[in-house]
Amino acid sequence: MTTELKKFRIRWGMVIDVDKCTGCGACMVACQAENNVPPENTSNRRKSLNWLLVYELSNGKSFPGHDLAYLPRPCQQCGTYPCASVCPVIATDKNEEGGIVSQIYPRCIGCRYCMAACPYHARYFNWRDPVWPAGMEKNLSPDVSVRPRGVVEKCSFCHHRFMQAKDKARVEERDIFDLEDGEYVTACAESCPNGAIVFGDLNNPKHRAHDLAASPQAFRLLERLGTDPQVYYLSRREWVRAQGDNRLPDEGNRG
Amino acid sequence: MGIDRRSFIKFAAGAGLGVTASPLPWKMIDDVAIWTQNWPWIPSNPKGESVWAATTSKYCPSACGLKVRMVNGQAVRAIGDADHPLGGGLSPLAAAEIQMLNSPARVKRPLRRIADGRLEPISWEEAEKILLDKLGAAGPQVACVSGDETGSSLGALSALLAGRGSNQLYVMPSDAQAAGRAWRLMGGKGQVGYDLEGSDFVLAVGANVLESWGTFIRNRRVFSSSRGEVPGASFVYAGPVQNQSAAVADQWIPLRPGSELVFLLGLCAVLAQQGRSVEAGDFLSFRDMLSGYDPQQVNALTEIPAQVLQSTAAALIRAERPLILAGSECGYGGGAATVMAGLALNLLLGGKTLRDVLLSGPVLPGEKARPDIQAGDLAAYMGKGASPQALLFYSANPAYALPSPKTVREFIQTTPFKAAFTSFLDETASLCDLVLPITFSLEGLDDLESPYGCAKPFYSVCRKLVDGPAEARPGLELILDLSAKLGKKLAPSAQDVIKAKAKALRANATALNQGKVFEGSVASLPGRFTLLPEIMRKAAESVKNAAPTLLAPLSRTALGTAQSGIPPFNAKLIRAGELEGNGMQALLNRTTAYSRGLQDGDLVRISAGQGEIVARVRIFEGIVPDALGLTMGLGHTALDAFSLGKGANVADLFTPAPEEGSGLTVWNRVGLTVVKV
Repeated sequence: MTTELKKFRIRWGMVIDVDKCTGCGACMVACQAENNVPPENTSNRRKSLNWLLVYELSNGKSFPGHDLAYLPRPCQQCGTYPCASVCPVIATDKNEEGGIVSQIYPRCIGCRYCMAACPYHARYFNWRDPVWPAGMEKNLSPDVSVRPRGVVEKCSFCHHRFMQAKDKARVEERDIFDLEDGEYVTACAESCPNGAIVFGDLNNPKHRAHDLAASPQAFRLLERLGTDPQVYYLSRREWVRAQGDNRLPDEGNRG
Repeated sequence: MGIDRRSFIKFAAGAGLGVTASPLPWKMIDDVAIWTQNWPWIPSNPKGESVWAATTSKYCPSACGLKVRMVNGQAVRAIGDADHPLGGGLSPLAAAEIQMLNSPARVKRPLRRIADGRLEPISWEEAEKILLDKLGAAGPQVACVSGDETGSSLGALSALLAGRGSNQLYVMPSDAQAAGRAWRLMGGKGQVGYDLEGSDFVLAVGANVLESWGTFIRNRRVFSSSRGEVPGASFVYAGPVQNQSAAVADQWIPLRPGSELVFLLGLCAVLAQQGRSVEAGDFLSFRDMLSGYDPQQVNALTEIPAQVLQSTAAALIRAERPLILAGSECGYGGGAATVMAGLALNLLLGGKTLRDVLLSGPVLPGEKARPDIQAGDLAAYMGKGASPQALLFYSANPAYALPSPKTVREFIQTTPFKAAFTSFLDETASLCDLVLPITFSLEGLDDLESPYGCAKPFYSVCRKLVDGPAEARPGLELILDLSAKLGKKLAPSAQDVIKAKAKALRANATALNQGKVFEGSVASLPGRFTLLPEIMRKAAESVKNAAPTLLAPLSRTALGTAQSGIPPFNAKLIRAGELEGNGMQALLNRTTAYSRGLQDGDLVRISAGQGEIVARVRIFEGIVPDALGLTMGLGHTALDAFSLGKGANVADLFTPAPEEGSGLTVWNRVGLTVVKV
C-alpha cells in the first residue's frame, strides 16, 4: 500500500548522471562525515549503515562487450512513500514543503516495518550504539544528532542544510521557497568532482535539476512500482536504464 | 468538614481530567522518548561558532583544494573548493581527511624499541638524543626515504643529508618519478605538465586518469565540464581493466598488462608514416625504430587489432588539441619508457597540450632540486645490497608499498639504526628503532609545490588550522631543528623556507599564508627534444617474453595511501568484488578462468617471484584475457583495525626488474603462476 501523492510547491530532488560516476565513493564518505554516520569495521555488511550506497552495475556481457556503471543510491524521497504508510508511530512522514521524507528518531520505536516496505533498501537500522574510534567523536559534524541503537535512519537530503538555507533567506528577507539554484545542496552533490549529482528544486524551472529530470535519458528506479521518486538518474546507455527498472530480459524497451 | 468518599472521588476525577487536558503528559512522554535515546555514551555534537579556512590537501595525492570548517578549534568537516586550481570536489580521501586527524593509527608520542622488541613511549629529549647520537655515529652512511614529493621537507632532507656528507635521499617510486626521468632525458627543464583544460581529446594509456593518476580531482573536474550541454573533450582509456576511468570514458581500449608502450609506439608509427615529425636531433633513428611497430606487428606482439590502432590514430589526428597521458595503473613501477613514448606521441601531434612546469629550485644550502632527488631509484638501492648505518623514513612506507616487501623488510631490519618520522604507525614505522610523531595535514605548517600532472607552476602553503597530538611536531620544522643540532643551520624556521620558496616563484608570501594559492605562468617548451629511441626499443623488447598470466593491479583511491591505510570511514567502500569476508578476490574473465580450469569462487594460490597470495576467483568480464586483476591498498600488517587483516598486499607479487636504457626499476609486466588450492 502506498500513500496518496502529496503536492508541494517545491520538490527537492536529485538528478544523478550514471555516465559521469566513476564509483570513487567520495559521496559516501562525505555523507557519513556530514550526517555523523559511524564508521564500521566489519566485512559483514548486513548491519552497516549507508545513507548513500554506490552500486556497481554490469551489462552481463562477456569480454570485450562488457560494460559497467556505478549507481549511487540515496533515499529516493518517494512522492507516494511506502515507508510512511506502514509506520505505526508517524516517525516518518512527508508533510513539509520541499517533499523530503522525514525521519524523527525520538519517535521511532525500531519496528523496522519501514525497512521492509522500502523497495530501495534505503533505510538502515541501528543494531548497536554508534561508536567512533577514540577521539574521532571530536570531529563530529555539529548539525546532525547522533542516533542511538534501536532506531531506523536514512538519507534526509541533508535537511539541516535546507533549514540553514531557509534561515539565510529569512534574514535577507527573501522568499524561503524560492531559493537560488545551488543555495541548498546535499553533501554528496557538493563532494562529487565529476558533477554527477545535481541537486535542486524539481518544480523550479530556474534550477538545473528541473531541466535534467525532464531529459529523455532520465529514468527513476523501479518506476513501475508507482512510488514517484524524487531522485532521477541519467544514462545514455539503454542497459543501465533497463536495470534501473528491473526489466525482465524479454520485456523490451519502455518509455 | 471532613473529606468524604464522594468528594475524594470528585477531586481525583477532576485532577485526572485536568492533567489529561493539560500539555503535561504529552510533554513528559515526548521528553521520555527523547531521553531514552540520549545516553551519556552516545557522543553529542560540538556546539559553537563555525569558522572556515581554505587550504590544500596534503593527504589526498591529487592536492585538491579544501575548505575546512572548524568549531571550537576542532575541524569538523572538509568540503571541496571549486575556486582552487586543482580542486572542484573531494576525493574519498580528502572527504575523510578530518577524521584521519584522530585515526586510531596515529603516532602520538615518540617511541623507542626496547629489548623485548616492543615500542615504548619516551620523551622528545630522549628521542632526540638517540637520533643525534646515531646520526653522528653513522656519519655519511645515512640514507633517507621520503614519501612527500611536493613539500619543502624533501629539499630540507636533502640539505640535512648533504650536511652529513650523504646524497642517499630517495623518494617513494611513483609515476611522477618515471615522468621526471623521461622528461629530463628528453630535454625538459622543469616537470612535465599537461594542459587538460585546453585539450579536446584525452587519451589515457595505463594512467587511471579519473581515479588515481596525477591531479585526479582536477582531471575529474575537466572531465565533468566536458560532459556539459556543449560536448567538450573526448576521453579514451586504454588499459587492461575496465576501471573507474573506463567506466565513464567514451571508449575503453583493452590492452594486455605491460603492452602500453607497444601500443603507444604503434600510434607513433602510424603518425610518422603519415609524415608527422618532431624537432629532435634523433628523430630519424626514432622513425627507423618505429618501422618495427606498424599495426600488423603491434597486433602480433600484443593482440591489439590493427583497426583499433588505426582508428585511434585517426581520432588523434582529427582532434585539434589532443593530449596523451601515459602512466601505470597502480601509480608506480611503470617505467620511464612508456612515458617517453607518450610524450613522443604528444610531440608528433604538435605538443600543444604539453607544458614545461618550472619548479622553484633549491633555496637551502646544499639542497638538491626535486628532479635530481627523483633520479635516485629506491627499489634498486634497497635491492642491490647497500648497507647504510642509519635509515630515516619521512612519511614513507616502503615496507608495504615497494615491490617484494619481504626483501625490503629484511633490508630495513638489517640496518643498524632506523627511524621513522611519521603520523601513522605503519609497517615501516613498526620496524624502526625510533618512531617520531609528526603532524598530519592541517596540524602544522607545511607546503605543496606543483604536484605531478598540473599544467602551471603551483604553490600552496598548508597552514596550521587545528592542534595535533600534543607531542607531534611539524615535519619541516623538525628537519630544520635536527640539521641545526647536527651542526648545519639550514634556515631559522619553516616560515623562512616558505618565504624563500615564495620569493623564488615570485609569489606573494602574505597571500599564501592567508590560504591563497599561487599559479605561475607557463614556460615555453624546449625548442629541441631528444627522443632516445633506443630506450623505448629496449623496454619494448620485454613485451615479447610475456608470461601466460599477467598481473593487472587495480588502483582504488578510497583505500588510502600506503602510509595511512584504509581510513575508518572508507572501510564501508570496499566492494564485494574486492573482498569476500576478509579474503582477497582475483578478477579473471570467463575465458581465462575456464582455460585454466577455474570457476567462480575457486580458491587459488597466486605467486610471482618470492611472493604469494591466496585469493578467490571472481569472474569479471571487464578484464582482458590472460590477465588477473587484484585490488591495491589491502593486506596491511600494521596501522589499525580498519586496515589490518583485510585481503592481501599486491606489492607482494611485484617482481622488480631493471628497465633497459632508463635504468629505472619497473614491475609492469609481472608474470603470475595461478594454482587452484
